[in-house]
Amino acid sequence: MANVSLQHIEKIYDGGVQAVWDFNLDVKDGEFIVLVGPSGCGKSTTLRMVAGLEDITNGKLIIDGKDCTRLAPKDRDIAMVFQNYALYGHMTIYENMAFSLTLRKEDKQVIHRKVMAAAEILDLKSQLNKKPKQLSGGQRQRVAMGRAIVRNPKVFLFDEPLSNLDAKLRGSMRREIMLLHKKLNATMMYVTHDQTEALTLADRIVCMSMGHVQQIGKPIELYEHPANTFVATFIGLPPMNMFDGKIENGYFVNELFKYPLNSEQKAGLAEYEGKDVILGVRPENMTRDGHIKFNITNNENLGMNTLVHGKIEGKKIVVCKFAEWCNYKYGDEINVGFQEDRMHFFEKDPEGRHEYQKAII
Amino acid sequence: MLKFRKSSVEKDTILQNDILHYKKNKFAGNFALLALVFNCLYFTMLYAIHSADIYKPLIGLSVIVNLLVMLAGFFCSEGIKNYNKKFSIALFVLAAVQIVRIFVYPLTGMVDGWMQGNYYFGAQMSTAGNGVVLIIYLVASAACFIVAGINGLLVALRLEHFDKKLQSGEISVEKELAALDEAERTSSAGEVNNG
Repeated sequence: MANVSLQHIEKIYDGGVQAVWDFNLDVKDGEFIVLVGPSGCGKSTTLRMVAGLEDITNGKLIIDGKDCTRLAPKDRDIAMVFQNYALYGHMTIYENMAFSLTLRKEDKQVIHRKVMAAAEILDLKSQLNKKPKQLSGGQRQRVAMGRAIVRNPKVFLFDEPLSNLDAKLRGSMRREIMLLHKKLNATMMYVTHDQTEALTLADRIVCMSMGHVQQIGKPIELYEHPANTFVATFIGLPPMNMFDGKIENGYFVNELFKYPLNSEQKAGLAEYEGKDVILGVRPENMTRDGHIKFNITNNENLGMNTLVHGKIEGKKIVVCKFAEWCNYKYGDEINVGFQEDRMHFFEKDPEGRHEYQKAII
Repeated sequence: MLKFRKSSVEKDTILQNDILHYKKNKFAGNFALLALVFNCLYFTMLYAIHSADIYKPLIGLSVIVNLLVMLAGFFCSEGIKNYNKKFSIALFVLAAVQIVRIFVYPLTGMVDGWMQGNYYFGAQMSTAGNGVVLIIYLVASAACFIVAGINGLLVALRLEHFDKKLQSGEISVEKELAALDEAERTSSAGEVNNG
């Protein structure tokens, strides 16, 4: 296994379109890194640059102390698992898994041992004589992973491997990937746009948007201390509720409500007195003991909790997530508030110079 | 030393035999297909001979035999790939058919002389020349069927014997793989210590 270091990596396509801007990341040996972001944010491009499937325009890629920036993909000792499995339909599962080793002309018995070991890990032993079309999507993805495992690469790369699977299978495969990482203790880089996958799998998450890294950190850090409004709204489901307003005399004030700040918030926002800020509150941090009037439009019971959609003062659309079964009807009015220690404040740039507003506290 | 080598060979055999469970017998299968290639060469040459004498009722039977040989040969090729020893017997029968066919057209053609003046691959050939080439094709086809049959039979018997041993618990692939992994770990740990 290996350390991977991406230093000031940039990707500029022919025609001048820049897909990745100044990407810096040090992946430790055995670490599970998840690149997450919306479609077109540059996460797959970054992964493909690590794999060698895309040229790196600027910057350096160091794998285990060796500069691999211009190295051919086959010489990087990296295995990649794709979303569409990329299995050979005319070969059996055994032959698919053994394929890369057969190309390397490894000894047949060594190949056999490696394939059997991978099949054991992935519970594929009974499927080895079948063809890919005889397997389910989840099994095919396991075969694709097995093909990567037999190579015993320095780094595993996963490019949205679960996107083709249904929700239930995605959940079980996610747990299998977690187990696989524990068993192999391998360095893994995983691309997804699904924040659930990112939060559950990652040792560290790299959150990207429009080719820029927005935040790198542990899942809990991104959830509890988002660096900007993009991360705040991207991580968490449903997304965080955002309110524009001002800080005035120890209150967060806007046209809809006036909310008192606690002493810690007052201290943190002292220099923003009279200035525009953005308040962010996650739906699960909305309470029913406040003074803000909330007109309910929709009530979605999810079993363990209820998503309640509505408008504050008939204007601002907000979502609340209450940890119990609720039976609100359209038009019901309740009072809501915020959990004090779970309120996030972001800078508001009145000139709109920044795409995403930085977190204050 | 000898003991070690013997043990090593036995381990190799266990894994080699286990590999058969996951790989097809392409060697035998491909030889059966090669036999069909020679059969194709035989009948294309036979039907290319420009002589009115060849167009007799017997040619219809020859076409049918060719079709049957091609069909049976293909089925046997697939069967033998999957270590089914019954198909080895069928391959021997096909080889016998090819040998018998030598005495039908090539020899009768040579005796009757109707194969004279054939142009094949641009060269004018004598009756004897035509006959010899046809015989070579049939012999090559039969030889390929025999090689495929023998190989298929031997490997199928080897696998059958191995499976019996596996089922009786005399040998265990899992234990073998675990032992080899352990040996590899020990040797790599030794290398690290030495290093």
